[in-house]
Amino acid sequence: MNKGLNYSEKLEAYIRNELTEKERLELEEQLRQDPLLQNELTLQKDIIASISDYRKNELKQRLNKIDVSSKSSPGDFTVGGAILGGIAIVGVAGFLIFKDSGKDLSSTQLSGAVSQMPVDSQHATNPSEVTSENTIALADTYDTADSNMPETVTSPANVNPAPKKTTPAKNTQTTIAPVVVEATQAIVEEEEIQKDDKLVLPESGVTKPAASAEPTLIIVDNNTSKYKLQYKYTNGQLFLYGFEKPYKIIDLPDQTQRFLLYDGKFYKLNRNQPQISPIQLVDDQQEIKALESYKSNNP
Amino acid sequence: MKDSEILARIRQGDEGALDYLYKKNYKMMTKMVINNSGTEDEAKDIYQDALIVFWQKAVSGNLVLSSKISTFIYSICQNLWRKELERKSKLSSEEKDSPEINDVDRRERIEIINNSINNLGETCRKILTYYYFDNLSMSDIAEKMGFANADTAKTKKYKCKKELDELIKSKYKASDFLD
Repeated sequence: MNKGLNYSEKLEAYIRNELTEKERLELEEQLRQDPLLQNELTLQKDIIASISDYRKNELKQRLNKIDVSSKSSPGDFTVGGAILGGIAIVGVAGFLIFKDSGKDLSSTQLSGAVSQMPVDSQHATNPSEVTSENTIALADTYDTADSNMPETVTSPANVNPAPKKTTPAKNTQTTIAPVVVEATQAIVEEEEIQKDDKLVLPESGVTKPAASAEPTLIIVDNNTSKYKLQYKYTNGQLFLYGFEKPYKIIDLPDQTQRFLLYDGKFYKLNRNQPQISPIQLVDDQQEIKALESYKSNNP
Repeated sequence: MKDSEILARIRQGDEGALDYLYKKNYKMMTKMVINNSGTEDEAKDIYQDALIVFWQKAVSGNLVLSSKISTFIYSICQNLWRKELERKSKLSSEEKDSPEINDVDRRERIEIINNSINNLGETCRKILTYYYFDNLSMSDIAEKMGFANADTAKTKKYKCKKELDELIKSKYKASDFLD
């Protein structure tokens, strides 16, 4: 009997939601009638879960080897270096100015000297990151602001980027302008998330299937008491209001409809719903049956 | 490194980009857990789990970010930590009310599966983890593993899975499963 080998791939496709509706229903019928096939399905589920756990542990072991004891983030060195380098160059420039105070230096000569500062400081402080392209320096500076952003945001009293980081902006418009803009923008985004401690994002397992091209950010607001079990979509993000118990998002494999399972009931979510609206209860028995079946196969 | 660059690197399976993200956001992410009655170890664990969720979604190419990466990971951390707190609270009440449930059979099965995964060759292990966990396509697996094309990767994956199934089943009675 090679039923197992024949069915192995089918069961795998079933677990990964890759079967057509017809194939799925057929297989489910067979599963109901055949305990051995049911055993095989359980085994295949455990095998796939164990392979995933193996990889997860592998990645965790890798992360555990990373030294996080240093207080500075990867980007801090660059900025710290840029600041120190900047100070050093200002000092040297000042020394040269005062040294040659008898000479009449034009304003263009001065600004020219200072405007080179961030690039020079990069070269001076972090040779490993030096390239011939200014775009790399730009990216590093940009990123440094980024890495410091969340820390700033978690303290409500201090919502501006550290002034040190923006100081060089006065000297090099080309490199600093993106830093300021990006940092401000980032803070706004972060504040949106952090102004409510109960904002949550479901883990990946609940936003099936893998083929979804929709943004997966789901924001739950439990504190706005005037909205009970309501939702909206804004810029592709799903906002849920008044959900005080665990919920589950269900995307059917064909991507036609998104559902929400909450408190034992299924609700429909309309992706074109920009206004906060009550969620719509699924009352069609056939639809409920299909969702129950999908749910039981994707615990 | 810009978010777009990090994402692009992760999509190519560059684990170095994961290391970079880990170190970069470590303090902020663990702080959230520690400030919400978590220990340092729990904070680290939750952050690693969140980062792996992000990795899994990003590497499969199915992630469309509508926020900054750090915001996204932070939200996952919040959610995982909330779930962990719920789990702990549920566990403590269950301990009081009912005896611990031991699914010996399942634990034994998982142990057999894990041993069999460890007994697979390195190549097979990689192929299977890339396929089942990272959700890489056959052409991506072929590229990462240096195979000629996606068909070769598909054949290898099939053989590796079969080998694993057989290793596992060899440790059971023949009547336990379909053969």
